[in-house]
Amino acid sequence: MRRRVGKGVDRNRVGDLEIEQDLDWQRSSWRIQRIGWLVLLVFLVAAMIGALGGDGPLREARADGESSVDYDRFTRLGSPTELRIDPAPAAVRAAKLEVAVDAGYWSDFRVEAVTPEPDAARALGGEIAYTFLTGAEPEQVSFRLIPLESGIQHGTVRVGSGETVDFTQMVYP
Amino acid sequence: MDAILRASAIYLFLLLLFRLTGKRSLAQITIFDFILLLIVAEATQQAMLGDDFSVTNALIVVSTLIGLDLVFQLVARRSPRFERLTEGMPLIVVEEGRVHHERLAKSRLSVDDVLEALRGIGLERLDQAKYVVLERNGGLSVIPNSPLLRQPASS
Repeated sequence: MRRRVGKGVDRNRVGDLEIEQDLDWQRSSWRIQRIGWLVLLVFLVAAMIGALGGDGPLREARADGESSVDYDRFTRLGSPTELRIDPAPAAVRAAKLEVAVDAGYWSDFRVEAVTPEPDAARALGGEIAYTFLTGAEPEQVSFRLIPLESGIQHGTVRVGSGETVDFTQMVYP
Repeated sequence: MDAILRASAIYLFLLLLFRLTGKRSLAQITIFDFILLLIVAEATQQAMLGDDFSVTNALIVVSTLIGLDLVFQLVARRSPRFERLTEGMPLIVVEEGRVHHERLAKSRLSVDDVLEALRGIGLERLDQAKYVVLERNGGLSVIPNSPLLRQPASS
C-alpha cells in the first residue's frame, strides 16, 4: 500500500493501531449513502408508476381532437409501443379512411404491425399516409411500433382530411 | 459510440450502486450478496450488447469496461480523495475491547458478525480482542489482545 507522507500523526494513529480512519468522512459518507438510497427509492417508484416507460398509470395518455390518439407518454428504446387512433366518423370519405403520420416522427420508429391491414400506404408531402377500407362507422386503427431513437419525440397524426392531433413522447434509452 | 455509452453507463451505475449499498457486499458473502452476484451480470448483459451480437461490438464493450477500469485505477493512484471516494476508509468498530455500537449499526453489522470474525482467528470471546476493524473491502480484521492466541480456526 502507499505510504502517505506528510499527514498529521493523529490521522494515522488510534491508540496502538496505525490506521487511517476519518470519522468525519465516515459520517458524511453515511449521510450520502442514505441520500443514495432515497434516490434509488424514487427511481423505483417512478418505474412503478410508469414514468420510466414500463407499465403503470402514468404511461398511457390520450390526445383528443375529433379523433383521438392513445399513445404511450413514456416508452423505451427497443420496447414495443402502441399508437391507437379512434377516428371520428366525419373522417371517412367514400368508405375510405386516411390516417397520415409525420414522416420525420415515423422514421424514428420501426412499424411492426398495422391493424387493420391498410389498403394502401404512400409517402407524400412529408407524411406517410395509410388508407383503410371502412364502413360508415370507422374502427380503431392501431400501429405497433418499436422506437429506434431515444429522446423526446413529437408526433403528429392526421385523420381524414386536415384534422391533426399532436402529442409528445419520451423514449428512454 | 453507442456501445461505449451503454457499457460506460452500466459500469458507472453499478459502481455507484455498490458504493451506496456499503462495504458489506464485497468481502463477506451473505446469501443476499451471492444472489446479487449471480443475477446482476445477467441483467446487464443484454443492455450492454443491445441487439448487436457481432464480435466487434463485444470487443468494443469489453475494451470500454477495461478502459474505464484503468482510468479509475490511475485516478485513484494520483488522487487520495478519489481513492477514498471509490474505495472507502477503514473503521474501528471495537477499540481496546470496547464495542462501538453506533458504528456497527451504521455499517449495518451486528456483534454476531464481529464474533464470527473473532472465531475466524481462533478467539473465543470479545474481551480477547483488542481491535476489530471494518476494512475497506468489507471484511473485519481482528487484532487479538495477545499475539500468541492468533491461530487459524480451520487446520
